[in-house]
Amino acid sequence: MENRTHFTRLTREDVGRYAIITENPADCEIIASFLEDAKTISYHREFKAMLGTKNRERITVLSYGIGSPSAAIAVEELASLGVDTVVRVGFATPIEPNAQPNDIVLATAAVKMDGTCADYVPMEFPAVANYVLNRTLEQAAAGQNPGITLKLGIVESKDAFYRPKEFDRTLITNEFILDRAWRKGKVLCSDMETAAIFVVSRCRWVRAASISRVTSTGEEDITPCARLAAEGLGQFIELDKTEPSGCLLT
Amino acid sequence: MVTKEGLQFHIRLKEGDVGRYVFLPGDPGRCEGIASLFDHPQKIAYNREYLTYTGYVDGVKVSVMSTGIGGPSATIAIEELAAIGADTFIRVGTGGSLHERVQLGDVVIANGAIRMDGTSKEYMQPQFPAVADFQVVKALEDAAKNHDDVENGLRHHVGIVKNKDSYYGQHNPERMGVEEELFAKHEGFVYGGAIAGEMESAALFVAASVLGVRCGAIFLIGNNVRGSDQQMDRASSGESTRRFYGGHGRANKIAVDAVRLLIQRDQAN
Repeated sequence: MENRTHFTRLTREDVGRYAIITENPADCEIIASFLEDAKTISYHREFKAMLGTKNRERITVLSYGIGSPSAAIAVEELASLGVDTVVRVGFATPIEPNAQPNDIVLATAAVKMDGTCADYVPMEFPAVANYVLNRTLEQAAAGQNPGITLKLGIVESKDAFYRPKEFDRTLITNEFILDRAWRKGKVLCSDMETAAIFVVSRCRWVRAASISRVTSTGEEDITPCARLAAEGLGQFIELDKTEPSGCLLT
Repeated sequence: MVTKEGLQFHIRLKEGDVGRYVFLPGDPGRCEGIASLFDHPQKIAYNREYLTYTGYVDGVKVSVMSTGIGGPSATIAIEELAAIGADTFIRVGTGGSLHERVQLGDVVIANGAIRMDGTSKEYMQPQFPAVADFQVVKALEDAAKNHDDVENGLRHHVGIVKNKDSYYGQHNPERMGVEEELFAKHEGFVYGGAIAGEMESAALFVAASVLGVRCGAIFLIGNNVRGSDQQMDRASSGESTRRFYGGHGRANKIAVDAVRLLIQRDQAN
């Protein structure tokens, strides 16, 4: 077997510089529908990989399953093959009233309620998106027709989907009463991977962004996020051709 | 908290004394330089480290107020200014480079900040990110592009900065009981891609998130780093001293131009 990445089973020939990543393997087809000549490359465990093009550049679509550990693996393995730009598209639950179902959220930074980030950087280090990539996505959203209204702000990334929401404060520590804290910090919504994707990307010199569709029923689909990711990456690809790669640090 | 005359307790200002947009240098000695870029600047108050000038930019009232060094005094500043109507803040400071590509005389615009401070812990849990307001970062970047002097090697960078509380913990860590922790954490921060160090951003950004106001920051860089052990060259030669002290003017102009853009964009919305 040639040099394939351990979990995602990809080689350098399967990727370019740009990737769109998502939780659910079933959503890869929807994302790939916004690219040209898309085809499935591999599917092992929760990692389904498709490859298409946009503006004549390869864009990989990769699912990573639920949670930060597998999302971190996806970023690491893509980075090891030369990917330097990753856009996550996914879902998030609202932290009302800061966000409402069907809002589309572009994360500026994430609250690190996962276990993975602490394996990479000290707790003081922020999970922050790549600014230039975010700027390009914001611009792409403004130019879309029909338009979408993007909310920009902080998201939370948690590990426990079914974590309890209400506890008698006398029984447990204040750590569990977190929705209230994040609400005060104007956190918009809660997902399960953005923080780890941002931190691992920083450590691997990958530019990362995260677009979430806010949902409370789980019945909406990924289409608006996928469309924005593809259009935004199309513009970002053109930007990369003109600007020096110094924006890796941003 | 207010005095019996109705002035905010530490900054000694009341509603009407400041504009919506406020510049926050650390050093009172730098307020005049920023105020000189306003129309009709007036000195309003000077209590403790808080020196305030108010004037106009493009016909809109703006202010500059020094915060002193560190999160405690800086967050008092942003709290009391927010209480009297300010909602957009740009910290204009000095910082140290943590990356070879970030050189003496360059300016750094903070996208996020490392929370190695005490103050932000009294606002939000440690997992919460210190992140600048996106619109403020955009305005600073657009303004900075016009002030690059690539021929003379003066550039701007956008990235993550390290907010420490202890200046001498950064510069003489070997003297400290927590020497090992300082070195290890610093290595982690550089590994994650921190590009500069300073002393107020994380506290300001987290406080701003809780207050629901907009905050960004721009720093003039005062040193170079060489090599993986981050040897520091400070402004010692005549040329580098000129680059640094002349750089304050450039950083101030970028900050004021950023507020011009914010004013335009806010009025358009």
